[in-house]
Amino acid sequence: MRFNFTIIALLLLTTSCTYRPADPYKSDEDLIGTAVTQIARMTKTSGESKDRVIFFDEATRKIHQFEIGTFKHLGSYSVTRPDLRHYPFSDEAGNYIVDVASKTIGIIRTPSGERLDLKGFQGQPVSLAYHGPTHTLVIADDLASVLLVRLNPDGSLQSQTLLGGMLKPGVNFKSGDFGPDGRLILALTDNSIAVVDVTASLGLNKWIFQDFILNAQPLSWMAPVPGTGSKMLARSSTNVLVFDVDLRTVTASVDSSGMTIERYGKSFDPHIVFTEGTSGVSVLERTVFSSMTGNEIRRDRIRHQGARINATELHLQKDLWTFMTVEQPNVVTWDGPKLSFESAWNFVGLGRRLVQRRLSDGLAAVEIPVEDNALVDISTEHLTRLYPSELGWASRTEIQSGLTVESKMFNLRHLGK
Amino acid sequence: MTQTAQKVLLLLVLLSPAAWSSTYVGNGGTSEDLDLKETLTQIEEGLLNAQSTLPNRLCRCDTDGKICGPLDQISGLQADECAKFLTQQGPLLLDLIRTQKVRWSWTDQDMKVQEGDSSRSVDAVADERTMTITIHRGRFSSLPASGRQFLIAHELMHLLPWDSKYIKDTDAVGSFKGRTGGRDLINAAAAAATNAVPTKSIPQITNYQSTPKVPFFEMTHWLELDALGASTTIESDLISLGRSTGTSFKYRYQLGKVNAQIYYNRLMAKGSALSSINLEQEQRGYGIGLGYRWQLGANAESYRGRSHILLSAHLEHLTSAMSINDSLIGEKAAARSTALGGSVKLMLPVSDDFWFSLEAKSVPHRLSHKFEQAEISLKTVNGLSSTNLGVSYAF
Repeated sequence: MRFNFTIIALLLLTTSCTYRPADPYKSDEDLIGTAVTQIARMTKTSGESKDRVIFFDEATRKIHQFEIGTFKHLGSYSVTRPDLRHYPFSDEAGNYIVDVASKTIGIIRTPSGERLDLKGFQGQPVSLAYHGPTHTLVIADDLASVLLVRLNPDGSLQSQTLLGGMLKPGVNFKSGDFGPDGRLILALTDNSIAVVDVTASLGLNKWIFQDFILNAQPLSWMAPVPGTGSKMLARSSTNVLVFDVDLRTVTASVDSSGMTIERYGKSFDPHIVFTEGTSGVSVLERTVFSSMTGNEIRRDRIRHQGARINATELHLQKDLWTFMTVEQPNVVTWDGPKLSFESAWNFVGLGRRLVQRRLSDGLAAVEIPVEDNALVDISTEHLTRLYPSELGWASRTEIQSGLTVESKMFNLRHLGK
Repeated sequence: MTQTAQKVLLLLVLLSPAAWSSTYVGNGGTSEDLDLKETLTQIEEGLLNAQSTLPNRLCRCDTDGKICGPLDQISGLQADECAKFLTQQGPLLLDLIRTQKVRWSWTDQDMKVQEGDSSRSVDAVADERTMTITIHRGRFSSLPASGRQFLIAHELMHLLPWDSKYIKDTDAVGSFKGRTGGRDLINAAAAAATNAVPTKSIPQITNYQSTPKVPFFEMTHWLELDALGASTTIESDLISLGRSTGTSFKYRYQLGKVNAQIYYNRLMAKGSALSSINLEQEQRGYGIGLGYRWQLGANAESYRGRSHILLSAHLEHLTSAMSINDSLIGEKAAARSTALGGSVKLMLPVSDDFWFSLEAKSVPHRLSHKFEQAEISLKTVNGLSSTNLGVSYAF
């Protein structure tokens, strides 16, 4: 018996030592919208930085909001369950914050801090899609339940409904996002595309949609092509393609077989970053697939060696590709307050650098080292950082000029009377 | 001096303010006490010399005599009786001095004795019942050494019985007849003892003079070093601030029962919030004070008499520097306050010059530290109560 216990203990030890978290770089596949760990992006649908940015502070377990221009701290908002992981997201005007946590999704109105809890999931929220002009949210959990929510511009609730993931008998959603004009586009497991009428679905508390068959492999990822009205950039197992929701056809497609996905990007212009060859082999070049008009697939092959990309933003009109690399993701040790970096919206790690390249010739216009322990958010214009200081320390850097504005000691207001 | 007169005088002495009289016991004491000690040592030497002097020369004044008046007035018979008196009483006088059986009392009150219809000012009186000699402080101090020896020897002789009775000034004794017979005998014997005091320096006295001890009442300069523990409160639900600890250095000028003080103190308090926020407050106080000293005993040279309580009022200016930081950032803020307060301090002697002290003090300072970046003020109350331990040196 003693021998058996020893074997069991060794097996348990071996299991715990060899545990590895799921690869975060494929976390955007088979989701509606964006993984909750990536949703706090600060880029507007117009491509500019949002007027107000937010962070969930792991040190004080509050959500902070800053004004992007002066980087003045506007407020700190408590969450109902500070012990849980939180993934905040804000509207473009900063009038409300969507606080996503385990089985708890709340709307916090600013600056009052008034909170409204939405219908709860049985599972863990995994993804969120948002359409700014109609203040519509689609949140899905890991049990494939879907919450449709429509808010007023001030963050008050207009309507909400909780639906199952099965749109047709035996057919579930696979991936999806809002189209450029606000329709919810879902790829279904039967290889069809559903165009969901969100307003009607909210009114009738069931899926209301039209579907069609697209001549393509099952789509694991899609994103709206800005300014096109009805075109979506998507990826199947073999191709990167653009399809038109209204024409119900594939308008452009390129073969991506043999290439390895490194990162999906939905901010601002949707794009997919590939490396060629097998994952783990030293990478010399990155290939960025995107679409300017929705009628073509643009392919930019840029020499960029080394560390993995863990956040990316593309702005085709400005000819800028902004991304952050990390040498050792999810490995941070330091002597500050105990943090749960795993819950951070972005993946902190050792040896991070923000790089901004010109797409047309690959010129590395900017490279900014990023501290290991900072939570970051990026847009084409700005890099924001929140440091794990219990007193409160955050900064905003203009990427082009390097000008940095800091906000410090903002947590102290909650400590004194 | 008669017993009645002595009673009157002693009553006067007892009714006089305690501050202006003291009783000498043992070593140390006031400057008069030291002078008295020196005088007694000289008398001892004189008495020892007298015992080795031929009786026929003892009560006669030679060319080296310092006090010759009382001896010039007596007859040969009286001189012989004086010599006999001194020879027999000498060892007893020495014993009286060495065993410290005499209580010495000082007074600034004018002392007079009633002798018949008239009164007479005196420099000292002896009471054989209480074995107490009371000395007029000012007059004793103004006397030359030989005058002091004569005066004290005279009074000591009143405390020893002769022919089974104590000699009074107005008694007739043997060949010393008349209303001043007793006084004439004692004066002659005291003069003889004084004249026998060697003119060379006496080693014991030289020792006193080389290491003079400042009497308690003349200790005007006090240096005090205290370890402070003061209360500190902060108006915050999330930050705690511990008790302030530090040191204080004080100079006190003592004049009789009242004193003036000037002091400096420095205290530190530490606090914390959440898991990594540290708070430090450094306080520097500058103060002045006025105090009153209350002795625990009447005898200024006894342990109780040297133990005392100081009651003080303080005006204190405090500057505070507060810093708050975590492992990444920090900020400093300053504040200042001027406040009134008070203290009570128990001083217990541990040696001739050093005292141990225990003090309770309250000088409450309300401070507001404005942190510019954080746009908030942290308010503290410092020094509402403090208990201090210290050591003092006086000179």
